[in-house]
Amino acid sequence: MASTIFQLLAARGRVRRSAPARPGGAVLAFRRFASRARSTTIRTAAMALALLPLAVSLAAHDLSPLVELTARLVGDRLQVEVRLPAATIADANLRQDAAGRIVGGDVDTALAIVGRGIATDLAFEQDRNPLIPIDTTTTRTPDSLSAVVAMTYQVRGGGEGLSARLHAFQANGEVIKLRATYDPGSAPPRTFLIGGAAERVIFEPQTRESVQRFARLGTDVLLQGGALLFAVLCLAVPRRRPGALRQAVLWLLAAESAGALWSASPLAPALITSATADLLATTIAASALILITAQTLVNQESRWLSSLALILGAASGVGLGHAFLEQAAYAGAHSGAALLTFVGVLVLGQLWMVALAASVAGLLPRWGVPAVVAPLAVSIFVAHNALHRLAAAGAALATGDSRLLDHWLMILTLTWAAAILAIGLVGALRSGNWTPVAPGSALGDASR
Amino acid sequence: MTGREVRSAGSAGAASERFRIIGLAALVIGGVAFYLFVRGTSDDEDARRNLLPYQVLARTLTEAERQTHAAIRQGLLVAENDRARLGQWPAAAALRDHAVPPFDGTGAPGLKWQEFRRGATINYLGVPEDASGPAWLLAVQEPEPNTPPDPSPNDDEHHRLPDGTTLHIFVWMHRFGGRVAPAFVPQPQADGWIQVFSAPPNPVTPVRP
Repeated sequence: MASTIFQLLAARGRVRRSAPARPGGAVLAFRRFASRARSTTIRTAAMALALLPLAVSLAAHDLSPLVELTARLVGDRLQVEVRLPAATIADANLRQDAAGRIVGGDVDTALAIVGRGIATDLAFEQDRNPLIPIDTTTTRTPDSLSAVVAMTYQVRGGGEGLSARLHAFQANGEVIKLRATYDPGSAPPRTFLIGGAAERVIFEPQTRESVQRFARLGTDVLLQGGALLFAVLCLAVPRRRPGALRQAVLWLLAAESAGALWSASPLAPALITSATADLLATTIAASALILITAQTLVNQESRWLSSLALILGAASGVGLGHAFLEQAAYAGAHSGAALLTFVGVLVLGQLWMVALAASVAGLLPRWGVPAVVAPLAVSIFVAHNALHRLAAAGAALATGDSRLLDHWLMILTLTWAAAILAIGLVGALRSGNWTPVAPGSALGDASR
Repeated sequence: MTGREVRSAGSAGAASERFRIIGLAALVIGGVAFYLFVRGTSDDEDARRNLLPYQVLARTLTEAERQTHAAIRQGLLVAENDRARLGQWPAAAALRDHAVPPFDGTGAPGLKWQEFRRGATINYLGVPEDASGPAWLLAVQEPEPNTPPDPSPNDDEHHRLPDGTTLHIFVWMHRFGGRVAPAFVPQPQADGWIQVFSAPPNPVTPVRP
């Protein structure tokens, strides 16, 4: 995609205007781009190397079986039902036929042992006091492919302080996730997806617990994903006017916060909260990041930097909203505080990174590092990573269910190209006459 | 020659830069402190990343299971002392008679212990009285004859006898103890057993089996 844009823009840049008139931004940028042929060739070659077609990993649909747990609060009783695929309780040495159905004369005795074992394993508690089930029954599903363990507990009050020890199961060496749904009756049900080792899940956490958990989530997203870090690096490392940097960062963070708050709120339409929207947002954010890195090489003081930062922030914000929604059940009744904490940690963390990155970038010239090295290195690195994410998300979208999604990457590329061309055309039209320039001729300087 | 007046920033500029550097240092320290505080209250997810699907940390077990695991680790030390003193591993009945927990049936749920040997490996198998409770397996692997000494440091898995013999120790748990056959377990992970660690295994030292 980037090479296509470069070709389009380079071709556009050959058209020159008369010297006295003020050129448009895109034309100006690529006039200077062509005028520094030798150094630009080196930069372009380095950029092209970083932007070579990358291996694309296809994301497969996740059709793995799940262990389903439902906990329903009815008055002073907690009714729990666990549906276990036969493979997850194979270690109970239940007899199965060739089709995987649970069979055998002693199956009821064996299932009773399984049921009591599961009840012990789940270890329901209220206010850290263990709950003993009043009643435990284990049956087979009609198709005998699963076992269902039903437990009833007596609880105090409105179920405050209820928790359980939830974990993924294993079958044939593979991890089987647990999907737990807690229905308090007085509020919408909440669903937890557990894919790892045992953790104590508090169904009705206090505000402090929610805030702590989502502060942790914020630091995880900030440091482990890399996308936010890269966005900050490619804004802060190149030498820009403080005002331009400040404006770009503010637009980025404002758009991110707004996007995250909106997409994670009940106001967001179902379309925005879908997995497809998350992938689309990832592609838009990655493409905006690639354009920012391209702009960095061409014109570090481009007036379009803030616009690109706005688009990057908005798209990233939708992705952050999705990250919050995946864990939203853990917030209990304090989702507002949890969301504000999550977004707040992200904003503060990115501001912190901007301060650090800008400071380090300012030190490099004092150490004798040429000014072009840091922006070039960061641009290549960030663009490379963004292309990986773009390709992976694009491949995940191309599932064959929709022609639009199948060709999304092409549509996105053409949209960006059309936007850039339109900006260049408008700029050229506003600036005055055009004069074709002979190859190799020098270009005049122009003001920004 | 025409002179050119150069105005230096002076003490005000130096003070401003000093203030900025101190501010930046405070920002770095504050950011790191905040991160450590937030991560410090976590459930140590990083420690679980080195674990295979059939491996768990003892701190993720229920309270009763944690106590049993701790008791097994303590009882193992008594068995190792007997091995070092007498040259052979004590029978489960001997440990019971000497009231070594959990071999003496104490703990909840109570376990009945048997030992099984095959080659250089001994299994102490504890089956619960309550069939729905977990079963426990303490597997001790001595070095095969004529094998070079294992240089691994002492940890959960590696214990050393006074004569320098390196033992490989494995503690396993089976969720459905009533469904476990009382026999030697050659490959516990293939029979639904879960390996329990007190601390995450060293990613450098290879873990057997």
